[in-house]
Amino acid sequence: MTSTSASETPAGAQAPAPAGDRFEHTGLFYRDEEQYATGCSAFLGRALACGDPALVAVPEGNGELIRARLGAEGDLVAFADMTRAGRNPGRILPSVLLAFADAHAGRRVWVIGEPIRPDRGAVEYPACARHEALINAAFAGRDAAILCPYDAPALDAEALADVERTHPLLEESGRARASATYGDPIETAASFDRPLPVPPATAERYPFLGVGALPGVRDFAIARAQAGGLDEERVAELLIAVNELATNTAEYTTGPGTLTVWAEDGMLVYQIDDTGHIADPLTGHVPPPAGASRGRGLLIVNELADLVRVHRGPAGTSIRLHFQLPAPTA
Amino acid sequence: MGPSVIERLRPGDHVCWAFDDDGQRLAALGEYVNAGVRADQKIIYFSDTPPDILLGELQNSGVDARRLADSGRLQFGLLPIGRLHQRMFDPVAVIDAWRQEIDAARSDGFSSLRVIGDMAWASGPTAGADRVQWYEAQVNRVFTSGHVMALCLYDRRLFDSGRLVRIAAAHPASIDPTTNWAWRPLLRMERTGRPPGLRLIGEADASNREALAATLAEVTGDLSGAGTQMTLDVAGLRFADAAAARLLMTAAGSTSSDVRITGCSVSLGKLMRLVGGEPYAGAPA
Repeated sequence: MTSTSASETPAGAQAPAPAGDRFEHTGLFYRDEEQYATGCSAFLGRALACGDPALVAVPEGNGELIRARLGAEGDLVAFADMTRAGRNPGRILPSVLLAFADAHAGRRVWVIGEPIRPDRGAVEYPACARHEALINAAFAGRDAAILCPYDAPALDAEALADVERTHPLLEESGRARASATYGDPIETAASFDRPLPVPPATAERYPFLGVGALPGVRDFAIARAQAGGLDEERVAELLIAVNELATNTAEYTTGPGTLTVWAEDGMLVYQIDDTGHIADPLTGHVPPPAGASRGRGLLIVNELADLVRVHRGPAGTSIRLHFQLPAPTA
Repeated sequence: MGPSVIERLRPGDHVCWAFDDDGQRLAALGEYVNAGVRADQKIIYFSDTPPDILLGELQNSGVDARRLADSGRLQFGLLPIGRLHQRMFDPVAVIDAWRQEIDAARSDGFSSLRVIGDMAWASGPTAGADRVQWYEAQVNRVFTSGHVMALCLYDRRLFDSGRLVRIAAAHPASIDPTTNWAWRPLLRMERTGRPPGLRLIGEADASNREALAATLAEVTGDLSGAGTQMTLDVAGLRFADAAAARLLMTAAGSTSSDVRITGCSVSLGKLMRLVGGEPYAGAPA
């Protein structure tokens, strides 16, 4: 994170941006609450000075640090608890970032988004890093500024290097600089497509073929969700998500699909493997045009699952959905 | 073991029965016809096969077919009614003919009409046979009255599997020889009188999407502009996928009448918001 090759400018000034592109995506490295609050409030100060709409989507406690700095002006800023809105990193783009931008179409929007916390586990991390890379593709050409704070001392060297690869701009101790390792966002996103850990031997499998098999897929899915201890509402949402994936397999691939289900680390895991390939890396992260009849399946899945991992292999695609189980009652 | 899959069918059902050999076809037909006799229904068997052959087949499948035919309870016809003589399939005329057959059966004192449609002709060169998928979707509109039920016979040896999947999706429910004995029709759609509208019972997914789309279009088209409040009752809809949720919302937004969706579950409501592209879903409340 201490690249020395990039030029530095004061963060308070207009940060460097490619000509003709008003999109600004900055990784903010902070070392303590003071640096966090200072960096974030400076960013919001620029938004408020322009009278632009601003959103703070960070874990709730961090939001309070920012709110305290803003004082009365905090009322002009929208706040979202990222631990809820962004529980699944796959839905931050469509339902937080793009939703806010679209709600203020025609205006420059400013968003602080904090998707990667040190407490995001190893299973979640690739999905978070991929999300950061895809922001650059989804917002290319849009009039927006996004600031992503990172708790530098708590992150390992690989995660810090990934911040530099996924953010064209970086800011540290009040100094802004261009990233020396920022690359093509689609290629960078693809680099986070890591093979999924092998399901446990106890996982249950249900092969299916064609749309006529969908009711059977749902029967299999619902029985395991209920046995796993999900409440009624979550079972219904799980069913919608799993059915959308199985429908994609049945309608858009020629081969069979397999649903595999197991429990791990307080999560119920549902994985669909099929012979299909998802052509557009933004599928599931960017809403299709209004009126389009296709392209919403993965968006809905991202909205309903607590974590979605996708792995594209030579033989097809694996999509793994995680659903948090309620904590066991004593 | 309770009633068989075939015996569980009832008026309003429009079922695609895909079979692999004549033994399977005849086993299902025997049960289906005898259930119609018990239910005091008029039975019409549409097929290109000559009636004397069909009579023999039914007789050998445990149906007292000759007596039923003599008494007029069992009739044989050509599907599509009348038009196939000219080797031209006209789905609109056929759907009109359905309504006349239903009225005739009811005025003859039957409780309802039970139909068998052998669709083998649609695999041949008949002009208009390519419209069978459209026809099967549109004909759902005569079923929602609850005065008719049909078992459509599709011989898998005659139809391309991809085409048969699309045709099956035009039916609210489908069965094949592997169907579990506990099967029930995936979706039932019933017209309601007061309030005027449609009641959906069961599950709506990709396997019956075309049937739902055509029926919703029919009901909303009927009531459009009538100034009446129309109700889409989804309390009995145990499952709806994203495409079905979109169809329901489109139906609700497509007519100048006042359309209400009632009995919406929490998860269906959430799904509707998700497919409706609410501008700011998930963002701060």
